[in-house]
Amino acid sequence: MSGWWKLAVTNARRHTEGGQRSPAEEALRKPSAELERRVAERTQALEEANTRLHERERALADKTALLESTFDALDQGICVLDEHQKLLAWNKAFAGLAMHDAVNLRAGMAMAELMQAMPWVGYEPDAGARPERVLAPSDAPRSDHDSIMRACGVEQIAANERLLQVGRLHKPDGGFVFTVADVTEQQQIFSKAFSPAGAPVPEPEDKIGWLAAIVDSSFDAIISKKLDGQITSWNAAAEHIYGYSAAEMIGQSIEIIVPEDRRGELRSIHERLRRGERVPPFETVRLTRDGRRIDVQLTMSPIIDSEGAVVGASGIGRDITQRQQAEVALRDREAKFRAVIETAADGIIIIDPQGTIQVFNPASERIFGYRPDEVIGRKIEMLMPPSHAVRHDQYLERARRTDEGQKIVVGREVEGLRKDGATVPLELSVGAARQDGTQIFVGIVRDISERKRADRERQSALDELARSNQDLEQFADVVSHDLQEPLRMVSSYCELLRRGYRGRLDDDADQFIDFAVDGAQRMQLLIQDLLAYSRVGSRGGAFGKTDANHSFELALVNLQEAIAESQVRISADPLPTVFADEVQLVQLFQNLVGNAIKYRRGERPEIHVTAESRGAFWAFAVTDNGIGIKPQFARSIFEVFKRLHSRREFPGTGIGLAVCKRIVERHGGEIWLDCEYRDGARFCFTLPGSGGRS
Amino acid sequence: MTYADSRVEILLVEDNPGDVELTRIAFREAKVPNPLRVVADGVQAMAYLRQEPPFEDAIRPGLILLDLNLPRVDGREVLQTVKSDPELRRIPVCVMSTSRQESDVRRSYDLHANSYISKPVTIAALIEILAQLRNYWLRTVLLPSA
Repeated sequence: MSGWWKLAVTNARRHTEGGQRSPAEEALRKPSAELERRVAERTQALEEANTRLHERERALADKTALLESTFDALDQGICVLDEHQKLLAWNKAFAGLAMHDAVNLRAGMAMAELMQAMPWVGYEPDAGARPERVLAPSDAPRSDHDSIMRACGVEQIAANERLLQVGRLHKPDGGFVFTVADVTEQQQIFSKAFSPAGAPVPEPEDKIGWLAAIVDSSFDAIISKKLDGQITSWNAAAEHIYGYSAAEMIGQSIEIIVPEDRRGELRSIHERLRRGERVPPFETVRLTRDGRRIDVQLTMSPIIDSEGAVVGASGIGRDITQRQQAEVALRDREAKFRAVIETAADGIIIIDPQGTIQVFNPASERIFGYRPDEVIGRKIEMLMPPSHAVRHDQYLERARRTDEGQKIVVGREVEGLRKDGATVPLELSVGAARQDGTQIFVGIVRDISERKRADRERQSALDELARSNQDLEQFADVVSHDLQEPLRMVSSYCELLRRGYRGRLDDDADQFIDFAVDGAQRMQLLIQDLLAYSRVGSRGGAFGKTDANHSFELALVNLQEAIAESQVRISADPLPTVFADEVQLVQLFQNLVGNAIKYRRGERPEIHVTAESRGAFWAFAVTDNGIGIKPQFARSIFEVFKRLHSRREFPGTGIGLAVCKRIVERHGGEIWLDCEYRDGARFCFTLPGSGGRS
Repeated sequence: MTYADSRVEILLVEDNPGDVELTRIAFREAKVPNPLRVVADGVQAMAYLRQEPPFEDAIRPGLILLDLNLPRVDGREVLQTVKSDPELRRIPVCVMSTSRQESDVRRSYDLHANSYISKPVTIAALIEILAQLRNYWLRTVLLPSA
């Protein structure tokens, strides 16, 4: 458009400069004049539009200034939050009414910070309902209202005489408007809010307006009625909670929303109000339009006319169904928790961070001898011997820094102090938990007196055993020396008799002397073997990594005469390194191989030694093809001086296998006769591997 | 064997008459000509060695055969006293005991016993041992002259 206008002007100029006009130019004159006229018209229109725009701008500026000054002039505090709960705008009154002096409001401030600056609201960030969540635009209006109320704690209005209301911003994105009003005067006139007829007591216009606004914007159902139950007022929240509109209810009986079983209660309350009594808030049940029973908390107050007569009652009702349900759930949980604590076999004691006892269960009563009422509220140190109590403060200090749910102490052995002054050994575990936002410590104690006593008994039995072993040892020494001394006399002099008098007495005498010499010598052997047996335990050497191949070789060296004489073929698989006393391992092989040689059979006697891994142990087997052992003797052969054959058949005292058993058992292993093997004898024994005894 | 060798005396410290008699018989059977003197306990043994009453006329022995278990002062104490006495400590002491206990053996050598012999069970073994002892200590080895 402007391009076209410029073109027209240029053309006009060319006319004037030209001077002389051609007929063609003349021909153009008419339309050109027409164009000029139109341009002028358009220009004027534009100018007029501009002027209008300016006027409108000025008007808008005036209006904004008016709004702003009004905004600031309002005695009601207002602030606006965007959809992200960030502060957008606020007026002077908001800063004055809602905030502490020190706080600087700034655009973009987070709601949480804003709330922190409004402590009178009683908003706690950790107390469950987070405003970020409850104010989320997606929430349904009803639950929004409830949640906002909880989050903002309007219960505190009366004390602070300020009212915080939260509304939605009418924008597609959402957002919220907080209004804060000084309601001191309203509070004062609140009880006189309703006249008997339901009409407001004459008051200044604005106050009544305010009052109506409060009643109407209240989240609680506010209903007034005559003493016969006829409803005289019914606010918006009452509509919302009970589902009936004011038009439906005013003039009707309150009993519409009172279930049968609660009508007596209501009448008695009306009766008390009539007498002028105050009725504390109580919880009861009401019916909604759709027939649901809801839990409500009711605050009933009498309505008194100008002469002081009670003419009606006002009721403020709050739907606490959700709260009730939450409480029931909480009670269920509490009951379960109680049951666990009451029936636990272990003592459960809960203390606060100062060490004050909060919970003391029946098992704790049994352990400590106190009743719960004797300890609850007192310090935990009373359950500890003084020496422990001193250290406990440090534990508690460390525990306070421990995170929730973490175990602070696991299975520590401590001493508890009973009511009767006796100490009791306990096993203690402590965990940290959180209750109503404060840290608590849960201690679980187990009385381990029984276990301790069993330990002591076991220890004393072990000591006794060690003592008796030592006694046996001493006895063996006595046997070795003091018994052998006279025995040597007997055998020596019998021998002298034989040397000096053989053939000089009769034949019987010679034989008797032989028996005496033989008996004395056998007794000597028995004593030496018994000594060897008793010394396996006490005179054994230290355990160490021992190459069984080497021990086996040494045993064969010790047996070389017998091996050469018997022509036994002896072989062994590669043997492991074990954790053993080498001298005793040699002795073990020597006794087992020696037995196998002694009890050989047939022309080709053979002995083979093997070993296989069995967990932390090695299982050895010494197998021969000799005369074998009947299974019924499998156990008795390991007894001291147990013999299966006469001395004439096989010489020996019968101590060899008993010594083997003692050696193996000293190493923590076992020895047995493999009864499955029938082609001779197979002795098996286990020894710990070189990793040491497990 | 020279006459002088045969005159070297052997002291037996032994309280059991049976053992004393066995030793005498064994010496006889082994044809050991050396005089055998016998005392029955540690107190007598020390008096004998120090030529104290009633042994003023005692001749210092060339070999001591010492039993460990003696009444009054026992063999271990005699051994210790002899081996810490500059006058006596060069005399070879052979401990003869029924005990084969490692502790007795070790203790005896710790006290500087010259040999430890476990009393044999048979008389034949005793004869053999005593013959060896006498040959070794009184004929084979060279000892300082008193």
